[in-house]
Amino acid sequence: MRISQRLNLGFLAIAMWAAVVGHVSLYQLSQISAPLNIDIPGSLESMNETAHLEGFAQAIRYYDEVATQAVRNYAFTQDKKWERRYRDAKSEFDSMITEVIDKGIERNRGLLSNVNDTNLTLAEMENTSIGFVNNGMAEDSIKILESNSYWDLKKIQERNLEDYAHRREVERYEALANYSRTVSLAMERTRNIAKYSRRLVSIFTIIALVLALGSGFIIARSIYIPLQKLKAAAAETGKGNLDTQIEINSTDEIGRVAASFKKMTDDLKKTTTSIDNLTREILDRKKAEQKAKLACEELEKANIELKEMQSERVQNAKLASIGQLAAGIAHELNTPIGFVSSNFETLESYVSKMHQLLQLHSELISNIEDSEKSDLLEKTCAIDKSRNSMQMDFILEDIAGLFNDSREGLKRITNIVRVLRDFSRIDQLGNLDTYNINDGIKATLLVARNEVKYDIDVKTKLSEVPPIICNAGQINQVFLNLIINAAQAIKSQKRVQKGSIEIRTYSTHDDLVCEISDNGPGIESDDLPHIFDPFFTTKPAGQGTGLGLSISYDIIVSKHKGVLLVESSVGKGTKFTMKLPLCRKKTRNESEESCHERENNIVCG
Amino acid sequence: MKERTILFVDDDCVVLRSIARGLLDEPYNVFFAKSGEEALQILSQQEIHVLVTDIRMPVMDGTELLKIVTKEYPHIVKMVLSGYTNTTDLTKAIHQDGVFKFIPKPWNLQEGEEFRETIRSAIEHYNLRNEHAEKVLN
Repeated sequence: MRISQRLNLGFLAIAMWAAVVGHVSLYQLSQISAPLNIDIPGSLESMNETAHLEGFAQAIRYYDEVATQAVRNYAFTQDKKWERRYRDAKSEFDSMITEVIDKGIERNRGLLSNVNDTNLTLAEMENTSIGFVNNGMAEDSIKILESNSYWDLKKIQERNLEDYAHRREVERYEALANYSRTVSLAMERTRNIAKYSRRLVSIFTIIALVLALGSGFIIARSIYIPLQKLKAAAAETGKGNLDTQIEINSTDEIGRVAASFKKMTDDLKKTTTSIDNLTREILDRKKAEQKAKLACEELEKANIELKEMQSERVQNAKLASIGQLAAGIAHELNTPIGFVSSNFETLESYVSKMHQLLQLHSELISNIEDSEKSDLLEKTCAIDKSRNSMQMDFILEDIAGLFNDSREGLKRITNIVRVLRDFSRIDQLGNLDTYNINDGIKATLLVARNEVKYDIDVKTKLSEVPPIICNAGQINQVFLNLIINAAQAIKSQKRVQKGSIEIRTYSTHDDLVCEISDNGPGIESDDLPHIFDPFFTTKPAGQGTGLGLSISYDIIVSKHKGVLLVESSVGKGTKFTMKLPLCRKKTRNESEESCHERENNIVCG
Repeated sequence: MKERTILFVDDDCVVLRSIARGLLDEPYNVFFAKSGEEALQILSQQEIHVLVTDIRMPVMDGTELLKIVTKEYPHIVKMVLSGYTNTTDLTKAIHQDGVFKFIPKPWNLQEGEEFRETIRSAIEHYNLRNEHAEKVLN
């Protein structure tokens, strides 16, 4: 239960108790007011009435006496004022009698009716007396008044009035007594109620006090204890003990606070754990950093080694190119050497056959004088037979062909060797020389012949160009690289039709330009920016060094201050354009640089 | 034994002529073709027992010719005479096309008579392989 609910409940209990107490008090008050409202006013009224009636009784007696006295005075004095006084008193008397009879108690009515009867007779007599006075017969009047009958009646009247007055008086006293009794009774009762109420109120007050204190205590306890626990737990947590357990299972605000607190400590624990982890991680990272530093140092070392290796690799690439070229040249040489040596051996056998035949002929000639004709004929036949078996006719006919073929083979071999020499310019001691690049292209094509022979048509459009000063070996190496790349690109397509490579040279005002274009597969646009990077290759592993174009770029751009451009579109082909400046001066620096590069000038690929 | 016939294929006429000279005294018939197409034409007209071909030739190269021959004339013993001694091509020729022997250029006629020896061994190989079949046929 929530604290607010609990408090509300406590207040409700107290309020209910207060309501009960209020109701009881109201009841008690009504008990007190009952005699005040009913008994006392009732008896007070009857007392007032009796007093009133007693007043009337006194007044009736008074007015009767006044009337009697007035009529007597009138009879004796004949003063009119007494007649008036009599009339006034009589009318008052009558009206009072009437009022008493109307208001009066039943048993007095008879009494008063008697009075009324006597009064009527007396009034008649008195009126007669007054009439006598008025008529100047005062004595008659006095007679009447002095008469016994009058006095008797008067006495009866007086006695009746006296009785009545007495009775009124008694009644008044009775009423008074009754009133005082009622009042004292009411007082007694009120006192009792007050006493009772006092006791009740004190009991109620005590109960209310107990109730209030009790509920307050319970509520306070239910708030205070868990708060105390919470405080203790908070203090513990503050000290860093995160395993503090709070045993609060209530669902009230404190319970919720406790739950939140627990969650907080849990989170804190997690955070602490994660902080621990973090610390560990930081340590790990520091270690890793150190490792990375070490690795970095190693990497730097490796980088230096790699750089060394790179130059080695460039050298290797050059060697690989030499190997590739050598293989091609070897093949080119193998065929003519093959048939020339074959022919040479055949010629040996031809010569030996001829030698044999000559021997036979010599023998024949030496024996011609001593021998018989038939003998000679026989020998000639034998010679002819061996000549036929030797196929000497064929041999004699073929021998010219054999020489021609062999000459052709030797020519081919010579040509290849010359081209190779031209290509590499190995016989030139100076590195920079005046060179016609058209010659270079022709030489390179011969060297590359083996690569392009069967798959590619090579078209050349070589314009007359001025010779330039350059390192011919290096320039030819670039030609060979570009031509072989183009050829390999075309061959990688495994196409049915022949591919084509077009080589164009021309000169502009400033430059000598050579364009080498192919209709091969082209270069992917993603690869295009990297083609001059060292070790970049798209050929299968082990088939390309990735150095050909980077070396070419170095030769044209760095060593000859030229330009090497590439245009390519996938599926259509690639075009390399190299531009070499026409007015190149042979400076001392370059000469030295070139001397330094001398060892490379055979390289191609 | 019936005379055996050998077909040489090379795009270089000079090579073919030198072979012809070299085999002048050999006891078998020889045919020469300057291209794969010509070789196939001869194959369709003559009974050939041994085929010796170059690898690198224009239009139809030796590999292609060997493939066709293997398919169309499975009894023929195939050999390669080439200066292009690329290991990959060599292994491929021997394993895939069932080439009996590979003769590298330049070939040698005299020293141990390697070239002619090889051709003779090819004929022997053919004889061994086809003896039984021929007996059955005859």
